[in-house]
Amino acid sequence: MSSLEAHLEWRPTRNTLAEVAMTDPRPLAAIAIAFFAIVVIVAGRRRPAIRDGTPIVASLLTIAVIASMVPDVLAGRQPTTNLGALVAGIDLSVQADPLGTIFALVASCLWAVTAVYSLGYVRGEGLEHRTRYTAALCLSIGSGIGVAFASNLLVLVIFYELTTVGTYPLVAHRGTERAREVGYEYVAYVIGGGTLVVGGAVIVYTLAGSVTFAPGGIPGLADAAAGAPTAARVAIVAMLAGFAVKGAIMPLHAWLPRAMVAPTTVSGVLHAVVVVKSGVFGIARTVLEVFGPETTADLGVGTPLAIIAAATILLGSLLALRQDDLKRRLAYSTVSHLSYVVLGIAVLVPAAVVGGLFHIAAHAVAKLALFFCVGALAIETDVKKVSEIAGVGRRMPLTMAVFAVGACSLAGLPLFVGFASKWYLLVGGAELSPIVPAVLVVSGALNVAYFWPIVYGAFFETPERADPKPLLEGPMGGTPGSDEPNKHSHVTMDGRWKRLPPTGVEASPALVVPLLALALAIIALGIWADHLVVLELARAAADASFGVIVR
Amino acid sequence: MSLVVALLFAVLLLPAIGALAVWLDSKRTPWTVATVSLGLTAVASTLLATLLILDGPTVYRLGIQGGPGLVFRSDALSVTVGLLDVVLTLGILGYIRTAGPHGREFYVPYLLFTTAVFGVVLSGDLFGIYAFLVLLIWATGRLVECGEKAGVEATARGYRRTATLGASVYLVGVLLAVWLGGSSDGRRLGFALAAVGYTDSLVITSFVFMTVGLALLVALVPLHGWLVETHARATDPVSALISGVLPAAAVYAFLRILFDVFTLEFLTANPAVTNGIIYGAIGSLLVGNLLAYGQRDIKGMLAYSTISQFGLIVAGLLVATETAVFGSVIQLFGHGIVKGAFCLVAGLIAIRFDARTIDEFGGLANRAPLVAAAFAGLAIAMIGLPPTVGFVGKWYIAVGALEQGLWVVTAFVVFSTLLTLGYVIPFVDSIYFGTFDGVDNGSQSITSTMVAVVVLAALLSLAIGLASVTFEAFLREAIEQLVAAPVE
Repeated sequence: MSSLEAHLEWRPTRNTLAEVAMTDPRPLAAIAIAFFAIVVIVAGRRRPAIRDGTPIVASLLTIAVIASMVPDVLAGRQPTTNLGALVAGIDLSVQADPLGTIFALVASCLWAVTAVYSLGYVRGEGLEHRTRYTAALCLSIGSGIGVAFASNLLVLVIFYELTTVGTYPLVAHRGTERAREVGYEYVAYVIGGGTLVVGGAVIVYTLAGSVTFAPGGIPGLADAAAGAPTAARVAIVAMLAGFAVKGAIMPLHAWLPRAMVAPTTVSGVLHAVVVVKSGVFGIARTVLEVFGPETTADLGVGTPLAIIAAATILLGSLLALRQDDLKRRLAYSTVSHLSYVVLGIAVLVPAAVVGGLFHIAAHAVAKLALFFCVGALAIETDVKKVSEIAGVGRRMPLTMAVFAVGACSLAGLPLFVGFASKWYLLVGGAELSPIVPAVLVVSGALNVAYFWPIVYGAFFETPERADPKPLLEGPMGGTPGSDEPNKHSHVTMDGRWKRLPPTGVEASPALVVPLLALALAIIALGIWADHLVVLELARAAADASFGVIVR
Repeated sequence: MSLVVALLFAVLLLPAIGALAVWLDSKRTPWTVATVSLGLTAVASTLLATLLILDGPTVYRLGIQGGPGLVFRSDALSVTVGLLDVVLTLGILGYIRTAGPHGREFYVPYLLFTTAVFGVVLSGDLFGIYAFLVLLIWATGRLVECGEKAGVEATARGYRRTATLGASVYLVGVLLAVWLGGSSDGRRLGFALAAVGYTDSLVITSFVFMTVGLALLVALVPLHGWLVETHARATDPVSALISGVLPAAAVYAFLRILFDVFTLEFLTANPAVTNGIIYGAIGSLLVGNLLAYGQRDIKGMLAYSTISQFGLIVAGLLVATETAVFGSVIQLFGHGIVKGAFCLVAGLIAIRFDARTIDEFGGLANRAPLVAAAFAGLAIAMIGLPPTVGFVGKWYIAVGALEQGLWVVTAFVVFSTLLTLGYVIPFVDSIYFGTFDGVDNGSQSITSTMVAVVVLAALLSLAIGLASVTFEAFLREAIEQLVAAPVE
């Protein structure tokens, strides 16, 4: 018995974990808090304290509600709120199952961090229309939690489109010509994706008579798919493609780098908290709980999806190398990392699925930290490009240290959370083909290549002695010891960063504290992954869908 | 006379009596009279709806035993369209109290419009439908004339000419059918035509005549020109009726003729005719949506959107399964509310900001947040995002069509969401992110009642979407009987 087989132990009965639904108002409450917060924000729009404080309180309440459900979820119970029929044959029902709880837990915890950071950011940036901004943020995240807890495809679609309704005003927030154009494009892309999903849902409903998620696949859909393979294939491709738009899978990713025009907090929310994650989450639901791994494989969709994901990983990383704009570099990095999740699922091996699902959390924490660093950097020093980064670590030591932590995690270095998820991906992926681990290793190296210049530049270079960036376009090996002033830098010879001690005075505490919290989370999840529920939830989700126990 | 029959006549006569009262008594404000009579009509039609849902359909024959008479046939479906009619006319009253138009010239046709719609939906007789259609056309023409824009008389004349042509084509079809079948009572004529045979060329001809006549009144492409013209010229509350109720009444008449007179078997026996109408309707859906792209003016955009929506609704009817027909009916109702309210929002914005086009809409959200929010909410319903009624209707039609193997219909119905999005978003974008550069007549120029009406409608579009299953339960029996082969 190989060590890999030791990971998997066949379980006699299937889906036993998921069969106990218990009626419970908590899943609905977890969603409703954010929606209620919108009402409070709009009502309290003339009182900044109420308007700005509400999201923080709401996020903490949401975390509490979701956390209180975790023991039940891990014990195999599924807290469910059913509000009766939505349309004929489909209920308006939300439930906390392992898969959904991963996403909801991540989204709500990061919401709390975002809410605090957002306070510092809107003041630092002097954003206007704060009521609309704050309310839209709540709507995006509340509906994101709705996506997580949706118990069937139609409810998921409702919240999925609501996420778009919430994020559209955020993307176009600045109201400039460019922002409006991008907002328009964003809506066209993601509603287009949503429409494809609706089309897929219509077919699934017609084939199986149900769209309720079931680990391992909707009962009856496998037989119906065998009977009408073309229809089933159209359905799964439509749904995967639809979700892939938000998941920024190539070639449907173009909106993501352009959406960088939005305020940085919003970029963080798009990249880490709800939007793109709802796309990959949708893919996970489709593969694991609508069609089920077996039917997905039978329809011949798994391998092409894995190939597309692998290509996206490599291309996204390569494109990230070429970006000078910090936010765009992070955006392409997101494109690449989202496909880690998709690859993990597409491999259709339990361990890889665990890795993919865990990477939802791993990437979210790290990418949010990176975006928030970039946001703080822009506010305090007006540095927005890699070519301007030299020496900035002297001015913002803590911020850049957190950036380094986030970068290490995304590169998959041990002791950081990114390693834990990648480990599962490597182990599971190897089972399908040695190409999968190879892709991941190469991508890890590329991650180092596009993050290292930033970290190195920030701490070990000065504006006077810096290599031209992006490195890819400079001479091989850089230009060591050059005394030439860096042409790309907007900082002149005498404009040195003022050295500040790493005591947090470098920016408003509302910006620094969330950063430190995220760094702590990255390291804690990296070291004690086994003890911090997310991994356990990911295992439970994979267990249920494959009918095996993943160690 | 049973209670149902009493209510049946109440909903027909109450607005007419109101119209008479307005006509005779010029001292009292016509608005009050209209409100009382339409309010009573609303109560009566709600009661009627309740009874029809509980006890099932009713048939009543008015006339001499064995001699000529008029048959009224009502069920949950007819009363749905009737309710749409009265909800809209009553809601619009909240808007026109201050905004106008005022005076007898407006209120008499306004009230008769309501009666005429009830007449069309309650008649079980093909000539009866024709008579009420003629009244409807007359009333609409008068309403259009009440506008302030230059050339409304010409527009009204043009409308009457076109619509009368449509009604006449319909009448030719009816005459042919009656000549073949010997009765103008829809159901009885249906049996007679079945005896003649559904593949008989004269039967088909009469169907085609009726369909083409009604298609003109529904404003399906390519017979849509009049709707765009009248919609643009009429005052906004009248446009609300033209978009929301007028085509709905014609669609209802078509539904009756389709299922009561010609039945499903006719559709099965003549696939060419069926497919022709389905793909014609889908064409209408597409062309209406595409033409809406060129519109910078809000009313023009709304007109083309109406045309596309009715393409969707007619396609759903022709799919002819219970699921799809229910989708069409709820879409008909929801669209009426949404589009009617949209016209009123356009009116509100025009009154306060003198704004009509995308560019003039720039930055209104900062000055009138509630109106802007209502606009956005209605836009979402019109685009058809879940869980609004616009989504639910499409969902049922798409599922119904796929069950019948009509995947092309499903594909276009789903895809139409995206097309609609494309021309609605520029308006929303401008309202929220554009810069204000126009006149502001001040918030006192519009009343809170006017705003309340449109906000309520936006909330209603959400509520109907969420309560679609309740609607389905109410309408199930009526739709089952409609789609099933009739037995007598």
